[in-house]
Amino acid sequence: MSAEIRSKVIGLYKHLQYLGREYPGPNGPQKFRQQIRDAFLKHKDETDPKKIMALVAHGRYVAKEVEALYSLKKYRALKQRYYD
Amino acid sequence: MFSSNARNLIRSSLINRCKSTLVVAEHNNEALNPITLNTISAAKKIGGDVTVLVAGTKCGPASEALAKVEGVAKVLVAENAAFKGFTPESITPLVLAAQSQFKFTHILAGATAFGKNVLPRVASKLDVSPISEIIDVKSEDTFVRTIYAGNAILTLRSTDPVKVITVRGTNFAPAAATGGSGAVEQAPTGDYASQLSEFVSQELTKSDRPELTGAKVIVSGGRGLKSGDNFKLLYDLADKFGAAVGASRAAVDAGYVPNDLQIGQTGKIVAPELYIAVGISGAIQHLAGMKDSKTIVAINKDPEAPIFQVADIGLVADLFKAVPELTGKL
Repeated sequence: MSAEIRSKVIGLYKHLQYLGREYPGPNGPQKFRQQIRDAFLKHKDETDPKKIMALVAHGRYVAKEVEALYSLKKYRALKQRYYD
Repeated sequence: MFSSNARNLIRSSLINRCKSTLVVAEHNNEALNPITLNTISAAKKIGGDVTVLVAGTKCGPASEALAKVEGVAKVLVAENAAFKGFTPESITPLVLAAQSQFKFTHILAGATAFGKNVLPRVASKLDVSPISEIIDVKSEDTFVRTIYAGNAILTLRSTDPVKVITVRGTNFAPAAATGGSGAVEQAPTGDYASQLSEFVSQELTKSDRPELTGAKVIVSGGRGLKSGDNFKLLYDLADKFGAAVGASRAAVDAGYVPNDLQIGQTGKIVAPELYIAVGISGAIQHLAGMKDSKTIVAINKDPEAPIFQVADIGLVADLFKAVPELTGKL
């Protein structure tokens, strides 16, 4: 794996782990982080750079969804507390 | 400094004096679409005179109803065979003709398939930037709209001479349908028949259920329903409430239901009192379309589904058991 791709994968992993810190629900952070870890380990033998980049793109999509989920959850909570 | 202030003052008072708004009404030649009333509320918030334009092949019922709406000063009626099917190619020249006669400062329509079809065309003909799906009016030239799929809110000031705006109906209370006394007038006449396109026919899905965008209760289904036939479960449940039925993008893409049921960023934006999501995992694209619902109930067999994070009440159960049980108890 070239150094460039390697740093991208590691960066994505760290970013997802960081996002997981606030995942809601009982044991949310632990569960989410374990899921991320499992998902990465599942593809640990992947060597084709194209396939790796496709997986990274999928990971980034997941990160975006999680970020949006947080902001939506916050939106609903604030709306219920102040506007309803 | 003083002179520029004075000039601004004169300019703003001039604008204030001339402020007038045109609302393009939406109707189906029989009845008025309720979103027109929400749009009139937005127009009243901008201030100035509110004029409503009704175009169609048979405008009688809609124009009579509109003349009675509180705050409507004038109703312009254009009855012409050219408006059959409400094609933007024929309605745009009419709006432009009305605009050149009355010199409106704002042109509004509801953010529906009709409004989103006509107004961008009007805006491009007037060489201004359209302002789409506003959720609030701050002042005559400052509006609020959502961006990034509703994740951020943008307040924008338009410097265009004419503001062309579509209004998100769920964010404005409907104007009172009685108490007004608007004058009904004929719109400027002209040859509006379009050479470019012609209305052939349309097929509407007939339904006794309320329309999605205005429904108080919505039951919606996702890919968890597994097939189009299973949507019957939802229709049965919806009939108990008098609810509308919606669907997520996944269900539409899988071909379970037609795309006019789609709720979400690319579909309809809804804000019912009660929203029941069945077999929907909760992709952001869907959640963005229903986040303003008062109460969200989610039924899903996967306890990890993101929808439970935004739902007020969650039920982790197999929908094929839970939904018939719910229907039976109501």
